[in-house]
Amino acid sequence: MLISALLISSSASAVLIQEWSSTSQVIQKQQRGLQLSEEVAIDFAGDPMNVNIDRSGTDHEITFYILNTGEHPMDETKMQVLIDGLSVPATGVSTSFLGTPTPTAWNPNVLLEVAVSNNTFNSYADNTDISVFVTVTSEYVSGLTSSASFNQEVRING
Amino acid sequence: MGASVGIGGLIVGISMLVVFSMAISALDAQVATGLDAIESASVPDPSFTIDDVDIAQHVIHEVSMSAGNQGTGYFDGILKANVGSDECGGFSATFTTTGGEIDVGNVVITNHGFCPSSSTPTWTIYNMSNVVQTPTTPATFDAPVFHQYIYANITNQGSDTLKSDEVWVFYDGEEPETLTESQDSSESVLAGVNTNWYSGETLQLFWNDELSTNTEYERLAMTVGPTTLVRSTS
Repeated sequence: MLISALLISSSASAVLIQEWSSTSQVIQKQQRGLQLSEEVAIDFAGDPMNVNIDRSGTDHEITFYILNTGEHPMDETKMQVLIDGLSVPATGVSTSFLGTPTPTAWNPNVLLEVAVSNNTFNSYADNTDISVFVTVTSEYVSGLTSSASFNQEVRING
Repeated sequence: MGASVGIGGLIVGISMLVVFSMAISALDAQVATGLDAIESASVPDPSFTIDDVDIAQHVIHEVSMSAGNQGTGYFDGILKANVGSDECGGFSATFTTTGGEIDVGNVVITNHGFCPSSSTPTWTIYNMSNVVQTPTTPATFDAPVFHQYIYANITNQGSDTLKSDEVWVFYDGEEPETLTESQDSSESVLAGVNTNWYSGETLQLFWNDELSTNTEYERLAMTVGPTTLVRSTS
């Protein structure tokens, strides 16, 4: 009887220790993830009252700038842009880094020029206020990624 | 015996569960404290002001003269410019002479001024006593090179030192460049890469904008980290 009780309590201990180990790992990972999310950030850069719209193409093109204001590199290929709630397809989004010498990665304090084109922009007149929402995923940092976003009301001018 | 062992096992099991839940609670509290510490330790946003921005268009950036056009019968003197009755914002340049001829390449602008248009102004040549000279053969200056000059004063109001490479400047929302890139290499204290902009320091900035068109900027925007400021030009 005693042996049975010892076996049961040993099994319970083993299970609890295992659970404790996995729980602490999950919590540690969660903490690292939360810390990373605090350390990645992007922000609209430039003059929100002067966002250029190019009307020369079939689909009008809006150009704005995003600054990496976090502490880790961001992945500009994993970016989603919404203009007035409309998700712009990846084919309508082009990006380029600015600066001298021209950066090759979106590191902290690197400015990214974003040009988005869509035929729905053709109806925008000058001095129209539009909403720009951008969300981007970071590069992998110690096996983890996080995302950052901003929402900015801007005025477009051709 | 059997019952007491069972009860003992239950007591041990429950005790372990209590310890486990207490450990989890402690860990949760530690996580919360850690996150609070991360948030409170975050760097404050940059804070700065654009005190003023002045734009001068049609500034006479360069005056030159070709060999053979130096005239004769001149003394060292002063060159001034006029467009009609407009004195081009007080433009003034000094020159030296050799044997009565104005020295090519030695016309030094002391006040760049600004003209009402990009038309070639009328040049008037004075002696050092501000009396109009009467040469034997008049000199002929080439058409001047006009640029747009921008002057601004900015003050770092925050507690942190900022770097000139971290400050992005936008002209009417376009053509972004860092403060280091934009500043005139010969006339600005910010010409060096990564120049420090200390807390409380006011920087006098000068842009020599080699404008090909006559577009006059109306708004100057600066972005440092998450902080963006815009100032209308005057």
